[in-house]
Amino acid sequence: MSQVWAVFKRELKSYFVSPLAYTAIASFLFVMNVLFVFSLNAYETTRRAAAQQLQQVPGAEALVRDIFGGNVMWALVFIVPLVTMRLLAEERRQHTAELLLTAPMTTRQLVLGKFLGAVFILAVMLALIGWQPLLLRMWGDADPAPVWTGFLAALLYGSFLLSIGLLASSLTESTFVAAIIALGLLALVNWGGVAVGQIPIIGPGLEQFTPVENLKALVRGTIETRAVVYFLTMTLFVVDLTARVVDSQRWR
Amino acid sequence: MRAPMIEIENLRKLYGQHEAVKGITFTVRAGEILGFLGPNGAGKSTTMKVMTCLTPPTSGSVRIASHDVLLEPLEVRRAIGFLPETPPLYPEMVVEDYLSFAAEIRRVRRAQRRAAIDAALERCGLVEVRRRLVGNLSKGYRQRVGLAQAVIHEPRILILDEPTVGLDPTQVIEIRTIIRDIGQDRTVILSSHILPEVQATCQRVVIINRGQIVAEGPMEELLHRHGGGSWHFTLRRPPADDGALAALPGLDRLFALGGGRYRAALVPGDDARESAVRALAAGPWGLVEFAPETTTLEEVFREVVLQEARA
Repeated sequence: MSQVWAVFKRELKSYFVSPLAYTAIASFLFVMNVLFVFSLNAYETTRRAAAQQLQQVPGAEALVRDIFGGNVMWALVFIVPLVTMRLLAEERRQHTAELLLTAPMTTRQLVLGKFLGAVFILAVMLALIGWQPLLLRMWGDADPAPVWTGFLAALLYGSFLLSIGLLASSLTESTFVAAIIALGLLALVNWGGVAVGQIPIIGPGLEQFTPVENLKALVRGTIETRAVVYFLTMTLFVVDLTARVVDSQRWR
Repeated sequence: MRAPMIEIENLRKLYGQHEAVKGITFTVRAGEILGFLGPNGAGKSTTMKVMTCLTPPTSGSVRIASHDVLLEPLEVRRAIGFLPETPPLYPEMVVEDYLSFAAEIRRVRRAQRRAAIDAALERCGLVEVRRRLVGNLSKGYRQRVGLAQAVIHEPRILILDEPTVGLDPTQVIEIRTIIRDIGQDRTVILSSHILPEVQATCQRVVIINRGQIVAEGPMEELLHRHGGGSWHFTLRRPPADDGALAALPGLDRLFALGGGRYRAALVPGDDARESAVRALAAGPWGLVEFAPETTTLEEVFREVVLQEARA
C-alpha cells in the first residue's frame, strides 16, 4: 500500500507543478459555469411556463439534477482526457517507466496510484463547482438529497471516465494520441449510452446497464446501491485491465 | 568461492522473428564488478532488461540473488538497483524529492529515508545540486542522479546500462570512481561499448556479439591470452646484427621494432624470463627496459569481434 501512496503523492506533485492540472481545472470550471447559466435560463423558462398554466412549479432540485446528471457528464468528456493523457504515456516517453517497472511493486499498485492521483484532481474540480448546488440549496430551496447524491454520482461517474482515460494513456507513448483515444472512448460511453435507449424493443432493457442511466439513477436523490456497485466494479475492471495492458507491454 | 548473485543460463530472447540474444550463459559472483561488452546491438541492453524483469526471457533461466526473474519478480526487483540506458528522470522534480520518491518505491523505511538520501547525494557528488530541478541539470549531473537512484536502497546487485555514454572525459572519470567505490561492497554488472571504460573499472569481462558470448574471463587473463605473452625490451646500444640476440637463452621469435626496441616471445619454462634478462644485461648492449607487451582490451575486442565476423 505504501507503494500506491508513493506513486499517488508523486503524481499529485507532478500535476501541480505543471500547468496541466490548472488548465484542466480552469477549463472545467469555465465550461461548468457557462452551462450553469444556460441551465438557470432554461429552468427559469420552464418555471414561468408552468406558473402561467397554473401547473406545479418544478423545484430547484431539478436544476441540481441538471448540474450533476447533465452538465458534469458532458464537461467531463472533454476534461478527463486532459487529466489522464500523460499518466502512463509520459512515463514511457521519458523512460521513467523503467524506474517504476523495476521497483519492487506490482503493476496494479502502480496503476492504482496513478488512478487515485487523477481522482484527486476530479475531487478538487467537483469541490470547486460545489457552490452551484449549494447556492440552489440555500436560496432556491432545493431538496438536500440530490445535492449530496449528486456529488457522489459525479465522483463515481467521473472516476469511471478517468479509468477509461488511464487505459487510453497506457496504449501509446504520445500524450496527444492518448488524449484523442480517450476523447473517442468517452464520447462513445456518453452518446452510446444515450443511443442504446433509442433501440426499439430491447433498448429500454439494455439501458439500465449503461453508465449514463446509472448516473441518472444516482442523481435522483437516493443512494442506489446497484448503481454504486455498478460504477465501482466497472472502474476497477478498467483499472485492472490497464495494469494488464502495461504488463503485456513487457512481452514486446 | 563466493555466492553467485547473477546466474544466466542459456538465455534466449526473441523479438518477433529477430533473435536478440542467442543462448548466453554466465555467472557473476558476490563482490564482482563484471564488464558486459559488445558493439551496439549485440544484445547487452536486452540481457539487462531480462535481468531487471522488464522483459521476460524467451527461454533459458535467469536467477538474480537466487530468485528466478519469472517466478519471483518482486524479490528480484528488491535485490537490484538499475540504471537504464536513458536515466529515468522526472524533469519537473527537485533532485532530493526525486531521490525520496525512488527510496519510497524501493521500500526504504521512512525512518531511514533521510539518511539514505543524504548518503546517495554524498556518494554521487550531488550535494550542491540537491535543491535544483532535475530538468535543469547538465547531462553529467543527470547521469549521477540516475546512479544515485540506483544505489539509494543499498541494493546487493547493481545493474548499469552504459553508465558513461555521452559524458565528457572528466565526467567519465568521476562516474567511474563512483562505480568503483560502490562496487567495493556489492555486485556490479555494467555494460559498455567503450572499452577503456571497462578496463578501468572491471575485474572480469564478458564480451558478446550478435547475441552470443565470444570471449569471457578475468581481465588480465583475457588480455594475456590475446596478447600472446609477448615481451618487449629496449637496448641503448643495439647490435648491428640481430643474430647475436636471437641466440640468447630464453628468447624466441625475436622481432626488431627499430630504434633499439625489440619484441620477443619467451621459450616455455619458468626460468626463461630470468635467463633472458640476465643474458641481455650481461651483454654490451645496455638493457634499459624489459616489460610485458600490454594489450588493450580494445585489441582483444577487435580481435574477437572480427574473428566472429569472419567465421
